[in-house]
Parts: sequence; C-alpha cells; structure tokens
Amino acid sequence: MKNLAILFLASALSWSVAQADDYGFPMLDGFAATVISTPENLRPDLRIKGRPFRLKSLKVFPDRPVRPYVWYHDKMRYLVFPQKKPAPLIFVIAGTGSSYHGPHMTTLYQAFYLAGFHVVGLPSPTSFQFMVTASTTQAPGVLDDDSRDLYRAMTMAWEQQLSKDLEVTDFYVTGYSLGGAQTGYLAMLDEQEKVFNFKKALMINPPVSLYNSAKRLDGFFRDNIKSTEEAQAFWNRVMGALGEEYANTRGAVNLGPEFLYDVYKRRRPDDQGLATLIGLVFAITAQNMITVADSMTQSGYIVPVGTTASIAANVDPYFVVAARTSFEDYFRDLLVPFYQRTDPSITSEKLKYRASLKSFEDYLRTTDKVGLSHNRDDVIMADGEIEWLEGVFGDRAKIWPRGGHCGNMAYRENVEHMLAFFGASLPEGR
Amino acid sequence: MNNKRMTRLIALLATTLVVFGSGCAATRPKEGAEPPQRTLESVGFQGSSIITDVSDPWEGWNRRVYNFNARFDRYIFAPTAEAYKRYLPKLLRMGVHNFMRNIREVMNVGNALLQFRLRTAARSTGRFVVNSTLGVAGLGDPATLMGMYYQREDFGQTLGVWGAGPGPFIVLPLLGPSSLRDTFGLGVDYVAWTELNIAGYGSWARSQFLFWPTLLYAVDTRANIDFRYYELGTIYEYIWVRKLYLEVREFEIKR
Repeated sequence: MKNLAILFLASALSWSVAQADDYGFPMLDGFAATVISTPENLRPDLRIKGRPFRLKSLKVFPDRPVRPYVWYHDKMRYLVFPQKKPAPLIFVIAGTGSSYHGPHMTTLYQAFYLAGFHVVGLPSPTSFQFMVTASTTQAPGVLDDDSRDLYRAMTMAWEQQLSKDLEVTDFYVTGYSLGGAQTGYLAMLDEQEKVFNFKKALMINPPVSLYNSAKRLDGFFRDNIKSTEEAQAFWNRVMGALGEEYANTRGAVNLGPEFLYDVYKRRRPDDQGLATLIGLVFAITAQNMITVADSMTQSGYIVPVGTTASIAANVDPYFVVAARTSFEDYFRDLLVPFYQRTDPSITSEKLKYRASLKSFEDYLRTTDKVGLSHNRDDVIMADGEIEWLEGVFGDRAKIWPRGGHCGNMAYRENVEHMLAFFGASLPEGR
Repeated sequence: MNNKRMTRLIALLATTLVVFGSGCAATRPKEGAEPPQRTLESVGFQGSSIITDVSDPWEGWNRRVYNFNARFDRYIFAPTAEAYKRYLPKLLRMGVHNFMRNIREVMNVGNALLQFRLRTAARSTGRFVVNSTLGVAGLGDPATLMGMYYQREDFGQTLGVWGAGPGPFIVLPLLGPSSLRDTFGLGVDYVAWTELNIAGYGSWARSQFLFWPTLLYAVDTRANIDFRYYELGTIYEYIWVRKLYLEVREFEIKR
C-alpha cells in the first residue's frame, strides 16, 4: 500500500513536471542539447526518396589563381535541391566553419525540399572553401563584408547557373548560427540591391555579437584545458568513453543523436565536460580559419610571409601554434591590423560593432520580413542578449524554452514553426 | 603465393615508390622572411601535442599518396559510387552489398577465432549459414533480422588483440589510411582469401573480364563510406584523419 502511494505521488509529480511547459523537446540543459541535438523519434519524417540534389560549382573570382596546396578548392561548391515545377526558392546559409553539408544543413535541405521549395545551400564565409574561393577579404569575422561576399556568390549562382534551369516564384533566405546573423544582413542588403527581393528571412540561433559568442566558445575550451596534461586527460576521457560505448554496440553504428543520447543517459557527463567538448569543436574550426586567413592574407601571423609548402610538407608546427591561438587573438592580432592596412582609422571596437547585429539594429527593429527563432538556454549567448533580441524583434521572435545552440532545429515543432513562418508545411503524414 | 604474383606485387610497390617517394618534404619560407608573430616558443609549447604526436616517419610519401587518393576519388571513384547510388535500384545495390559481405564472412569467422572471440565467431558462422541458404546465396540478409548482426574482423585487428601496436602510419595507394600493422594484416587476409578460395568465388572473380566483380566490390565499399576527401573543412585534414584513423582502429580492436 505504501509502495502504491509512493508510485502515485511520483507519477503525480512527473505529471506536474511535464506540465511545466508544453514544449516536448527533452529536458536537457543547453550544453547537452547542443551536443546531442534531436533524437530520431522526435523528428518529423524527413526522408527523401532517391538523390534529388545537384552539387554545383561556381568560379566567383575568375582571375584568382588556384593555389597548388589547395588545388581542391578551385571553385565554390554549393548544393541544390531543385523542384520539377515552378516553386519558391530558399537560400540556406551554413553555420560557423561549415560547408554546404552537415547535420543541420541536411535537416534544412530535407524540410524545405519536402515542403516544396527549391533549396540552395551555401557554405559559411568562415568555411575553408569559401575563404579560398569566394571571400574578398579572405579574413572572415566581420558581418557586413562576409554577408556581401555571400550576396555576391548568391547573385552569381542565380544569374549564371540557377536561373537557367529553375522556375522560381519567390525568394527566401534562412541560416543557422553565424549563418543566421548573415541572413539578417542579407535581407537588409537585398532591400538596396534588389536582386532577389526576399519575401521573408528567418534567423535561427544567431549570435548577437560574433565577438562575444566566439569568446564564450573559446572560453569553454581554453578555461577548462590549461595545460597539455589536462588536454591529454580530456582527450583520453572522451576517447575512452566512446571506445567503451562503441565496444558495446551491435552491428552498424551511426554516431548520430541516437548514439549520443544513449551515451548521455548512461554516463551523465557533467556540464564542464560537455562545454569543453563544444569549445573543442569551435577551437578546431578556429584553428583552420586562422591558418587559412593568415596564409591567404600573407599576414605572417603563424605562417611566415612568402612561405610555399609542398603538398608533402610536415605542417605540425603551424597546427600546434594555430590550435593554441584563440579567436580573440585572431581578432586582435590579424583581423584588426588587416583592416587597418586599407583604413588606418579602424579600431578594434569599430570592428566588433560591425561583427554584431547591433550594427543594423534599426533595420531589424523596423522590417516585417525578418523573423527570429532562438533558444532561452543557447550556450553561445551572453547575459541579456536573448532579452535584447526579444526587444528588437518583438512578436517576430520565437524563443523556445530550451534546445541549446541549434540542438532543437530538427525537433518536430521547430520544423513546423520554421516552415509555417514561410507559409509552408510538410506533406500530410510526415 | 606463386612467383608471378610476387613479381607483380614488387613491381607495383616499386612504381608507387618512384611516383610518390621523390622530392623533399618541407615548407620553404622565403629567403630572409621575418619569423611569424606566433611561434612554438611564444605559445609556450612544451614539446608534446596529442594530435600530432603520432608515429609517421614516412609522412612525405604518405601525404603524396593521400593527395593522389583524393584526386583519384574526386575524379573517378566518388563519381562512380555516386552514379551507382543514383541510377541503380536500391534492391539491387542491397543484394550486391549483402553478397559481398556474406562471401567475406569466413574472414570474420577466422579472425574472431584467432582473437578467441567465440561468440562473434559463432554469430558470423550463423550469419553465413542462414544468409547462404535462406538469404539465397547471400543476396538477402535475414540473419540481421534474426539478431545476428554483422561485425567486420580483419587480421590487423587480430594482431591488435594480440597486443601489437599500430606501428607507423601508412597511406596506401587507392586503399587509404592504414598502419604498418594493418597493412601487414591486409596482406595476410589477402593471402588467406586467395588460398581459401571460398566457393570458388576468388578464382572465378579473377577470371572475369576486367575483374569486374572486384571492381563492383570496390564501388559497393565506396558507396557505403560517407567520406569525401578535402571536405572535412580543415586545411589540416591529413593530421586529423591520421589521428582519427588510429583512434577508430583502437575502437574496433576493443569491440
């Protein structure tokens, strides 16, 4: 009888917890949600029959020579999911360091394609391939310049390639993370340039200040890992845990959300560990970005000016130094001096401002085209930034109670909300 | 192994050595260039780095082969696999995939036995029996539905279970990242495969026009690997792939 009472109490309690909000995304904190993302059974059915996509490539700067060391980045590559009949077209902008592929991009491709859009996915201006092939400055991090580069690439892709085989009714744009911030700028730029006349634009989990968010992400890693010993211990811990988990799996293993959620439920890693992992992924992105920006702009920051490397060269020293260079270092030592080469009046503060949504706050406040989807517990946001966004976007802002950084993008309700913003929906039964 | 095959193997090795082994492997700063602003000393490097401290004495050769493989993959291998996936019905591709895995099952059984993993050996044996019969000569995979899941085992893993470390990292032409241990294992597996000649498949495949069954095997394998060269998104791809290859092999040895 006592057991029964406890059982009753427990179920009543769990009922009330479940009622605390009616958002069905798992009760994960921001760090865990960011790492795990959405478990498979909570996603809509986004499977697509066949392989209806085309990988396109575009020579953005015809006169820019192809460097032998990066021969493979001769053109900017982007992915298109064309519809067979006239349809709206949506551009999708990838997040920091990402190319046209990856799990979040896949979610967006599938959702919009199933909802009847031509989908065109573009790499982030911070990605390796975009920096080499499509960036003017080749030193990314400043929102206005990066977005202009994107807009140029989009215009060229449309005029030279897409307009020849797609029938388009209207144009839309969206992007997540840094791509979300660029989405807002692109919408504003398009009001002046009028190439696409975007009807709507949705910013998904954008940073308010790229600098603040990068600094936070850097901190997750660099504040927790201060010595080689700590790095070694952390690496061994992660690899040890993954190895053990892998040994217990059966058959084919997909290192996706299912696997990670499973591991999480069994091991309950602490937030410090999860934060370090998130920071590590950002550090790897930054390591590449810094090295490429340095050699492309010939800044002599990590790679001496004028260095030529054969494809066979050992580059371990650059790898090691770049891994120990934070975004803050990059911003202060490479980006600011680089901008000062052409305009000596540029200061660090001015660039930070230009790398933030605050630089075009007026537009974001007044436009009715641009919407926002964000999470209350997004780990890249500094205190007060979500509230600032709520103030700016008003009822155009949808703030989900949880989901971390982009962790809930594939959650059913989020996908439905995203499509509804563009006046679309998934086919019946999905 | 007969003499003729041995000669061919040596000739192949010699050619690849000439193609990839030449030239020095260094970065060349311009004469009299300033040192960079950040150096190993200025970042407080203490002599060890987790990701780069890997035995790779033949890095120059390895990087050349890696780059050659990337070119081969970009222009020939990946497009073939993509066309295969795009234009052949899934049912047919599944049949090919199941068949190739089934015919290889004997290697999994043998290696599992050598690793004293009797449960795995029994499961693989069960798979072979069920799929060869109920699965119509291995074209179907009813064994998986019955809970007998596929697990690949090779002699490189067996050596790992016996306690052998990976040794130096090696990138094999066309085959990709490996280690000295795993390359040796591959050779042993290959010889065993040829000598065993399961159901006469090996000798039949070798007598076909252009060795098409082997080419089909290669395309099927490529079509099931979700990796594209130089798409990892980092200029240090070689270094990351090297480390991840070695880590993943450790995972497979533990399993």
